[in-house]
Amino acid sequence: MSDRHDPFAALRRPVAPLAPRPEFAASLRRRLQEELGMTTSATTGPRTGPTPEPADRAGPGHGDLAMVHLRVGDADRAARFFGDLFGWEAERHEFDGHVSWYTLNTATTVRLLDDPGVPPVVPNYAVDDVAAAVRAVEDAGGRVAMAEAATDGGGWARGDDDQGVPWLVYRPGGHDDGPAPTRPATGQVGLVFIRADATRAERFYGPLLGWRFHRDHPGSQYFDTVPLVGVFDEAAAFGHEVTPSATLYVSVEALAPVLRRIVELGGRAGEAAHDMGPYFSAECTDDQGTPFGLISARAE
Amino acid sequence: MAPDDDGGVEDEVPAGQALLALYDRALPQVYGYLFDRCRDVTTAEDLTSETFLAAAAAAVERRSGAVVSIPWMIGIARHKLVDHWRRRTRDERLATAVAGTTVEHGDPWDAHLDGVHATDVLGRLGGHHRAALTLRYVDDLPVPQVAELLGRTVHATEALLVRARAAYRKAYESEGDDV
Repeated sequence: MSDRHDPFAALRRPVAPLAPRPEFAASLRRRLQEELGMTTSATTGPRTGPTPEPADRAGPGHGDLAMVHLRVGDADRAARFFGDLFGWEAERHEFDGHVSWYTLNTATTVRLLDDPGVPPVVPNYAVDDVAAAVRAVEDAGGRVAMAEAATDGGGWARGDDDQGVPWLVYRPGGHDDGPAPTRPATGQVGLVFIRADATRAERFYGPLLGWRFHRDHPGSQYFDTVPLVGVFDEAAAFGHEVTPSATLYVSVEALAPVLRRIVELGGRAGEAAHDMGPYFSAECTDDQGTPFGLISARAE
Repeated sequence: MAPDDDGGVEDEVPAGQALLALYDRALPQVYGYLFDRCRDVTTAEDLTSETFLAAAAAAVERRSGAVVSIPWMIGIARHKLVDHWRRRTRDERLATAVAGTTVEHGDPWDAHLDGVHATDVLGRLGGHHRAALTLRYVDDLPVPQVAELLGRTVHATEALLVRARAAYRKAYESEGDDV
């Protein structure tokens, strides 16, 4: 009996971390703060380059994802597409001859930007001190393309890491939140998926943003870093060469209805896959060919 | 206020601050544990909320942040999950179904379970069978600890596990071609 195979052993599994919906995470944090008698101090990003955030969200801490830039062909058209698809409400701005739409009703702001000179997806991270972040980037072999770092630690900077993955950092605080949204969004920033050499990424983002890489099991090549950001060492996983990149995945309640709506709106809906742990995902484009991903806990 | 290497927070930190300091790290662990075992977003969110609110109440009562750690939070989540299944069992009136289950003492079963199918089958069992098998096999807890969580004697828990395994086997094999 003792050496007999126990089929139920196949059910054993350790706790696998899984990020819940961002709006749920924010809502529960507020409830906890209320229960504990602690007030929420919402911090927000700078309107002049980057970000508005919903006023009811606790601000991102040092190293957290604070916003995502998504490059599009025509920002006005993209605002209509994503507004229809995800219920996004956004505020229009023009900088340097380019149009930007900043979402108002997502927990993490998305900036739809029609500047052809920027990378397709730029994750923005909150930092306590921009000047220190610039020094950390340079020490780690990254590139600082542009920086406006104030002596008090404020400002912003953007560039690439030592593998060519774009980043933007800024210190949140001190701007107008913009108009209040009138409805909840049905799609939220679910994940910024970074394909890169994980060892090099840990060396770069650890000192810069304080990220701690961890994975569910020793054989996995996917690493959680901070909420909504994951690093996948695809080259190590599959043994082929991979161009480092960042992809935006939008989390939705269920995949299939959104895929159908993408087609109705003139976009391209990719095949649903079940290759991100318990999540279902699909790689899609909008009606201008802008690539983005969908991620959901439910297929239907 | 930095969490230590064990996912806990240093002793001198007040309990409320300790819990909030741990929130970003504990949330995906607690939610991941619950979602993996109930496979339903709404239920996982409800139970996650219950877990953190219960943790807040307990931490404040004890005042010190020393108690706050991720394993402690998972322990609370496990209790919430058992409560959920207990409620579900009542709702489904499974007591009748249990009485009709054939008990196979020793229940030898020489099968190799397919991971995805095995999990699906578990999700279709009644609440108390699912609870017993999840705690015993998915969480890999010893029978006395399963008994404590379920509020049963060890003997009664062993009997429940035999019935649960039989029900599981029947459900698994009725699906056909995976075994």
